[in-house]
Amino acid sequence: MTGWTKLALGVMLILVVGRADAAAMDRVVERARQIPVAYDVDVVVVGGSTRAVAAALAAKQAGASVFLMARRTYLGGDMCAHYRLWLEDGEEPTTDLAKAIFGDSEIVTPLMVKRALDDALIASEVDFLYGCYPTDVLRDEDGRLAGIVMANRSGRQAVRAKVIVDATDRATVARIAGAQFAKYPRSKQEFTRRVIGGEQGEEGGQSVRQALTIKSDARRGRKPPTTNEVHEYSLEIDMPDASWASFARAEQAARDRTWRTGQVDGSESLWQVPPDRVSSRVAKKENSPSGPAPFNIDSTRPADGDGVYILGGCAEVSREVAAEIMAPVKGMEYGMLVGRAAAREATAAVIGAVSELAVACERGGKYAGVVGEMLNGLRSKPGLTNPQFVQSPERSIPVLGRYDVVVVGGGTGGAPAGIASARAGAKTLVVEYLDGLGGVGTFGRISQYYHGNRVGFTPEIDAGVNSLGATSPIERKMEWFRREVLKAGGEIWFHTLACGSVLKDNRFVGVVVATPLGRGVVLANTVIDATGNAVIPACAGVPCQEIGGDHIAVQGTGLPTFAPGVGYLNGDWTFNDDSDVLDMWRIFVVGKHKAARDKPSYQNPFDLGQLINTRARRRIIGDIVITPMDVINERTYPDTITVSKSNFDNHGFSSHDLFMIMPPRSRLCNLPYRALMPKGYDGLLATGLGISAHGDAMPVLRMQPDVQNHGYAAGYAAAMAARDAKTVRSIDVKELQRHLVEKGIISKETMNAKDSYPIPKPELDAAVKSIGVDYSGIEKVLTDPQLVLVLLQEAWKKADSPEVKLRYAHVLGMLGDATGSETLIEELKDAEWDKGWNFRGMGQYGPTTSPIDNLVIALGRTWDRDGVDVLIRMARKLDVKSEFSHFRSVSMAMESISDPRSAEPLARLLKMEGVTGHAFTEIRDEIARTPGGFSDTSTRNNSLRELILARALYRCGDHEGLGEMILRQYAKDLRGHYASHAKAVLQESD
Amino acid sequence: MLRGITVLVLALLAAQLLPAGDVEGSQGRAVRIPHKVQLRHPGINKNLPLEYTLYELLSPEGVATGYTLTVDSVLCESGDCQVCKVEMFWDVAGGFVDYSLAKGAFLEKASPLAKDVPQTEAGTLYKGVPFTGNDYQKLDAILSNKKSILREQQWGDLAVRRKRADVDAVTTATPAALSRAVVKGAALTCFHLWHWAQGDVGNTARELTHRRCDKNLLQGLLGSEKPHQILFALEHLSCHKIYDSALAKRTRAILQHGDNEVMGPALIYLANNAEDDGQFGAELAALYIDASPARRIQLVGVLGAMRELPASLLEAMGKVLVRMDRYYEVHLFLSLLEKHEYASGSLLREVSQLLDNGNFFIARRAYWYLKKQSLDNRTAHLIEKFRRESEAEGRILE
Repeated sequence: MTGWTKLALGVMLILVVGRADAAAMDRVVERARQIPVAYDVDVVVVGGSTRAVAAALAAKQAGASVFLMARRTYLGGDMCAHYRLWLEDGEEPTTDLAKAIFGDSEIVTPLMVKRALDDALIASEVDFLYGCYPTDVLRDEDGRLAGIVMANRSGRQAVRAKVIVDATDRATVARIAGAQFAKYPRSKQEFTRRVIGGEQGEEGGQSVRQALTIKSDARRGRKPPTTNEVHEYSLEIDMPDASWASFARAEQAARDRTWRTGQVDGSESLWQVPPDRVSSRVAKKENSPSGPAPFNIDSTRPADGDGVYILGGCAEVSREVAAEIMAPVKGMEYGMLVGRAAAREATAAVIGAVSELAVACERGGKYAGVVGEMLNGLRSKPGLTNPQFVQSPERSIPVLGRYDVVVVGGGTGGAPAGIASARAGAKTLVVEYLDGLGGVGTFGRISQYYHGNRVGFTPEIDAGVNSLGATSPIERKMEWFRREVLKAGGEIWFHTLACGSVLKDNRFVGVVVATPLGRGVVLANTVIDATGNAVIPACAGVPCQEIGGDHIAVQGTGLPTFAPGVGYLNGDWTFNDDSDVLDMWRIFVVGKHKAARDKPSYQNPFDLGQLINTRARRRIIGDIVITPMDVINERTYPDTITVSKSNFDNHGFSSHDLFMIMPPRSRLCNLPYRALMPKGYDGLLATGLGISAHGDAMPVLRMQPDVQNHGYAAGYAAAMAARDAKTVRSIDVKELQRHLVEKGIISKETMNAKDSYPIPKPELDAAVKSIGVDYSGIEKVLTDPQLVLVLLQEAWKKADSPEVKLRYAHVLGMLGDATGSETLIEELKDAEWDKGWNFRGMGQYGPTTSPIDNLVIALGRTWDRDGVDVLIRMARKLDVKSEFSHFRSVSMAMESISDPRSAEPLARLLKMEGVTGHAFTEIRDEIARTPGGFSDTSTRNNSLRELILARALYRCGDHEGLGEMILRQYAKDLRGHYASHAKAVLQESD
Repeated sequence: MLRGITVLVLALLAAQLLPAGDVEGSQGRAVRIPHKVQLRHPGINKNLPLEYTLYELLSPEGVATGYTLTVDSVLCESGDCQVCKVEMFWDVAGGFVDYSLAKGAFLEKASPLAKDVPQTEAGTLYKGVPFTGNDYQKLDAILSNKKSILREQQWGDLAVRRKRADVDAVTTATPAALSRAVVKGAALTCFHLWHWAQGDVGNTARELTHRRCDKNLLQGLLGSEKPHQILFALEHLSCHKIYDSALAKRTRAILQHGDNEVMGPALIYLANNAEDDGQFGAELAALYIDASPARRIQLVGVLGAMRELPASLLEAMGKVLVRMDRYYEVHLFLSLLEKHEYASGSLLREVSQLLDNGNFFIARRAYWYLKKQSLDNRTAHLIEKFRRESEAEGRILE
């Protein structure tokens, strides 16, 4: 074991989070666990800057295998996040990478930068991922550095690597590894922030210079390009220490001082040439009295340790050279030098095998919560044939702060939750992985409301946003949310990813976060999960609703383009699993190419957005799960906290039986407080897309005006709990409701309502009768079908007209009752296909199956094998031009009965020209085959048809292995939901 | 067709046209003063302002009553639309009032041809039909809505959408939102007229009024219920340094009951109007004490944006501290003290009473404030006691 390795064991994590305050001295015990290995390479490059990419490419060219992990949602943060998009005076691109970025231009757009970097890595076959934070280093049994551990949307994974290139801004990995750095001065520090548009600031202490002008390309219509000035501010900000909390506060202070009406964008984070250099291998004698010698590769290598290179401003070089390393063009030159050196070292380096590696960590700690996290590994593990793990012994992780309320995610629900909580007096922290608040209404560019009940807190937001003047609506809203959180005394940590939970006796007491400076715990009385993806419950292993083998009915996802000052844009062109870092990477890579091949007037926009507009995500299973029937019946509850309003615009197709009988229309929907609490757990409230509701009820609940209101309610409830030293389960819900009445979110009548369920038996009996007329009443019957099953059977028997008999047979079939199967068979035996439905994403609020589809599905649900021949006949009537819903209904029916006779007809359908071959397992393939346009549905129509047919074929016993083969392809698909679904189906026979 | 009573009055004035000249009118009659102005309209030319004649309307007594501009009802791309002249009116503070059409003229919208007419390959065929009464009503509401999403729409967006009939290239949510902002079949007309109503003319009108406004005019506007008129009055009263007790009284009433958006200018006016800080502080404190909790929160929020505040105000406000039962109000007030680095013995005593507040958050907020101050022994003892008890209860204090 080397000298500084030994030292590292004592001090490493405290150093990572800086000289933190008293709270940070506490530590939480984390039990031993196994971390799945995601990559096994020669060189891992940590960071996504241009210099990091240059290093990765140089290492690869030198023969090393390389993996690059970037924290942001894209590569090139040194240029794009700081608006350093042009060549400075006299600057020339010297490296191939710089030439690829700039071409013949002196100024480039962020999209050009990001795409050039992606393309360079893909062309060189360097694996890379976005959204990954380094959290730990690995060591082998001899104490040698052997890789890193990273946190991302998929949890934590290990990367075995012989050499680490630490290209982070603050040398995070080297600090985790225990390298020694100069002390960060406790004083005013100078930071730089760039702001786009608006007037120049004139406040004292700020020097402002006008930089180049950039053009904001408009994506839509005939809007001409607009020109915005870039203002650079040099700001002196008090820094008590180098903790993440201090950097986060500095960021907010800088924004307070620089925000101007008319502003359309700004730097994502502060720029600083770090004052705290590493103690490197450069011999002291080489350093002159005035500072270190010019660049020497050893100045990037911490003293007394192998295996890590600091490619950033913390290298032991003069601050002028440090600034050069951090500057994009020159930085790429340094990147190549470091990349080659890393590859050389990797050639000679020997480290232990995976089985001999462990996470280097500190023991001890006095807070004994159960730290939960996702440790399932990446779906695709290049170079690894079998699941491999490294050991993480029992250890402790630092507490970065203690709060009454921590809000995880600062989006549509999270920002209002943070505001409500802080205004009510709770010590509140909002953590957000992007650099602004507002979610889909800001970063997602859906800056206009569609439906939604615009009462309560929503009009206050709108009025506040409008009061900020004539800036872009997106920038205004982002700023209003930020100001209101801070004005109420709350704190905001941008660039912070929640990656774990802390649980004590089934009560959530904190979250684990990954910051750019390392991993830590935030303890809180209440956790508000505003990720919209139930991340925190999932980390704790709490059962959630997510895509499995039951269906693949996912709502469509968009990813907008972006330019400073732009407004509304709403798209839908793919599916995205937000729990899957690989899927996230895929959509960002493909999105850039999609933008390039859009319609001519839309091509090559200024930038691609950073927020994936997913409409369906993982949801909690709460004390109560809102169903579509609850919506249609306008069910009332004693604990309603908001009244939502929308139609069933699900951007896809439905999976609930109700929609295969009688699709409903727009409704109001009461949302009870209990739908925010995971069943069996306390200390956590979910908001937004993560609440407890059936996927087909969510479209009515997820409109922005409504999520803003229920986010507010969650924030207030969480504050009440902390105020009274209670939990969110034990608060006085009536007091909460009284506040919501005062706020205008609900009415007194709503507050005083009782649960309208169970529906009285006489109403159910009447509903059974009305079903025979026109299916009306089905929404009541489905609330308790077993109670009226006999009545339905009798109604079928007594029905005196074929139409009425068929309706009862249809409903009985959907309930899994074969009483009326002969009626269904009779109806379908000579039937022709009617007009079906193709997947269309946008604007899907009508039926997604035809009347014949519905009868076919119902016949399948009867499990009556006498129906198989009819189904085979219907299948034979399909051709490649038939609508998607017909393929789906036949597949659903056949797989329900699972009769082997269905296998050959299903295989025949799959063998029709153009039906197979739509899985995307290689990024280059997906890039090449994805058309332009941000509302395209062709790839989904093709893939869904193929996947659903293959699933049915597999469940019917398969035919020549075709179903299994296709499912195995989809199990490796880059699109997460397809992969999850295919895997779940394949596992049914395991 | 004439629209609304206001329009009727303005139109009657406008109808008495006089021979062209610098000033149109004569003794005892309404006057129209033409102004050559540069105006931008995003549908006509987003970047380049064009010259128009905006008429200023004066009553027979010479009192400014508003402005008028005559525009086309729509920009017609195809050449087959019905285009008529629309006379639009704004008040002296640049707020859109109404519009009128010449007798017999009407606005037109597109309506699909009957079902039995074959469709072309390009899509549904349309014919022009006159606006209905409901359409005019909806247009009234559209043009009055300053926050309409039409502000963010581009002419090209609507033109493209129209050509594609019911198909939206980007999202069906867009037409759903747009459908509330336009008369069906007349999106371009609505877009065109809205940008006139709520566009450049408002600012130009304010600028023109600014040049000739006097106390009487501003006094009248200050008495209005319309926030934009009150704002104009407050800003110009301050600008022209017109102060008196009647105006101050009206301003206090505005602070008690007015819109949130006028509170800042009202406070500034009141501060400037007061004889001294003491008077301002006393006046505001009186207002503050009588205000509802929600209004007090608004007031403190606005005060937070002011660079200087008289000590008397802070002292007076401190006297109602113990009556504050909302955390946010307490927090904003203490933030105000912290921002102005103000403390006094009496204030510290008032704040220390909050340590006993039943709402722990209020008590803790007082503790946070007090522990940064120089305290007498008694108060120091109180906060130490609070700290010990809170820690014993496991409360978060830092």
